Amino acid sequence: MTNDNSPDELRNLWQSQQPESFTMPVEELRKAANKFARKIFWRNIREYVAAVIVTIWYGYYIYKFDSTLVRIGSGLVVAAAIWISWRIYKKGRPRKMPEEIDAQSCIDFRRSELKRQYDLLSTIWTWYLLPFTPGLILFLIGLLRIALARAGARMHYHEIATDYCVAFAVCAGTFIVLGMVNHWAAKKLKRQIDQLDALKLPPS
Amino acid sequence: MASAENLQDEMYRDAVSAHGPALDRLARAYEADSEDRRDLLQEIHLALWRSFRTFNARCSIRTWVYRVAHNAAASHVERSSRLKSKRLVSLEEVEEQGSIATKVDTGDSVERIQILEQLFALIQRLNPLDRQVILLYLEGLDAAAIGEVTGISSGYTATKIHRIKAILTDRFREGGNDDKR
Repeated sequence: MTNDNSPDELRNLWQSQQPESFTMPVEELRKAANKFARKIFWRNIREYVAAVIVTIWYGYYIYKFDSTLVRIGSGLVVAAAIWISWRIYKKGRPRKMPEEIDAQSCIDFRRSELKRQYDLLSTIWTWYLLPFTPGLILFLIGLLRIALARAGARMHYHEIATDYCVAFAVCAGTFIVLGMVNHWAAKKLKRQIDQLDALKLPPS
Repeated sequence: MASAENLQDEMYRDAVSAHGPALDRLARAYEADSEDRRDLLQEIHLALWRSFRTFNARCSIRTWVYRVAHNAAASHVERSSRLKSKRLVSLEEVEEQGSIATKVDTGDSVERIQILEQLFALIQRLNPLDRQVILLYLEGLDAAAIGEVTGISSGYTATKIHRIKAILTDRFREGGNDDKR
């Protein structure tokens, strides 16, 4: 073999490989397709279970506390959890691989995956963090009012105020960090999408 | 209904009989471990069989098969935390790294195996898109066909092929060993 044409020789060498023959009878493929459908079903169930846990948790607060504010706050948190679960189910879950999408060009396929993730992360404030905000604020204000109404609370205004300031700060901080982390992740995805788009055009 | 299913089964069987070895090589280029490779092959075959439910003849069977197979393999990498955590590079980075070349003599079977192992090692370091381009190139597709499968513009496809040829020429020629870095 000469060294001048090594890419062609390598192509021949590559194609001359005799890999072990792999085949799947169509009956086996049908079984695998059914198994795949079951896997999707159970993954969806897991998503619903998370919403059910939040509903039970805050539903218990609605039952336990007499405070109207705490009850409204808990109700709003439950509503937010249900809305977010529905949103994740509709937009965020890995797609079910519809057959036609599988046969898109590799760039379009990859782009659609990145775009789906980008849409989810770049709008996290509006669909994930914001829906929880009113409920949590009302819930915390309601708890604060309960604490202040307790006998002897006047003696401990300072401690109670400090505790609730910390609780608000932790909630706000968590939201801000979540928002920023997702914003950075979305920016990274956008760069990847732009790089793919550039490859579809003639080189500049 | 039954005839549509029969047609789907028939198209799948024809595609596998024509492109089965290429699918096996593709899986080997993505998964070094034999058990994981078998899982990937099953995923590819399942995606291919499912895809023929909606084959629209807007492209050739070959293009369809390669698109489905490469997309299934890319999804497999995306889902695998082990593969996803690997740092992948572009053809440009590989070219910039330079080389210590490998002697190419396809007459000796031991050397053939060594060369192929080094070729697999090189391919497995590449990012998904460049991996797709080099695999399609090695399977003998020309620039237009590679562009059709990947969606990369003809200009960029030509540039990438030029780069692949330079890397292969540089790395697999008389000299020493490669990919030990």
